[in-house]
Amino acid sequence: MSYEEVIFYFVAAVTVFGALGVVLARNVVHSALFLILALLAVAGVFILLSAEFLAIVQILIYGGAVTILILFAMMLTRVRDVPQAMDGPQRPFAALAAGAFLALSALAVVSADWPGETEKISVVPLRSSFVDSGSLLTEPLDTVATDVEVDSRAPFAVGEPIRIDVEEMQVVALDGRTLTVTRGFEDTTPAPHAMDTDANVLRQGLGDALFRNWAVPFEVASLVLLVALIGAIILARIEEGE
Amino acid sequence: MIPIENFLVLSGILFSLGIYGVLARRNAVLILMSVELMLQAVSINFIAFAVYLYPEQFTGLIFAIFVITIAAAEVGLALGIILRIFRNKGTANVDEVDMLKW
Repeated sequence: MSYEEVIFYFVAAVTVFGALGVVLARNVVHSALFLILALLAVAGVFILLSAEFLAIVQILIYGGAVTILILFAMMLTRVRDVPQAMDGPQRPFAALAAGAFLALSALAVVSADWPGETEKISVVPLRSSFVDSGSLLTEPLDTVATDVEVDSRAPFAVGEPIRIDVEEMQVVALDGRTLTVTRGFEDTTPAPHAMDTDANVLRQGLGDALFRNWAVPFEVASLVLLVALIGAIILARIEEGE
Repeated sequence: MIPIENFLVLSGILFSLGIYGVLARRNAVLILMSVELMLQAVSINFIAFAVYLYPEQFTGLIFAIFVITIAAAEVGLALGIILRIFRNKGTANVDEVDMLKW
């Protein structure tokens, strides 16, 4: 188990603990504090996914603004003073529905084929483009053109999200001619992986995507925020005669 | 590298805890908090898929940003509505808010 995985399991445990506290705590303020814990732990998960920008956004918006807003609402609606039970009689049904969803999603995750999984296969049989150069070996060398070169960076399979690392081998025949044989290794990780790329490139790409490709949705989102803000003010305002 | 399944299972756990909270809680503020948990699960999924499956595209990250933005707007609006209901009905318990029941 790598140190990355140890950190992941720790952060995941904190997240699940916080989420359990949110839905099970008897005191609503404790519930809100558990929510802060869970949201900060989710920011840690984002960092593990190498999405640092989103982790910062998460801490600022969720850890700061949203939880404060929720705590305010709790105090303004005096949920603590009301002695009624916080959970309804539908608890077993809720547990059943949540458990069923969890089982279903876990099943879907486990049974699906993820591209990263080919990682476990180390050396794969030669792919179709390799077979040509591989079969050269079985033929007598003098029937083969000398200095066969296979472009190791050529696109081998179109549409396949796998990178192929190629190893080149020089075969020297008895008569002194050389033959370059190329062997392919299938790499597990999808090609240029976000975790391997430079953080600056990643951030630049995110900015490009947000302000170029997604500029219109971005503006619409800001409009939504404005409308929600005005709506919340109008809703919460005390009207005359109240 | 951490397998993508770990992130997906974590987000599944978070989402089902959110489902439990939404269904079991009766207070509107607590239901809202459970909805936040579910949105977090969705964000984790978006980012995990973006980073593992399509690392050259940023669509998943952009969607996570939008989820966070819309969630902030939703919380503000929902709390305004809850305050309003509390002022009119004297309760934030969703079982007792049945004015729309016919």
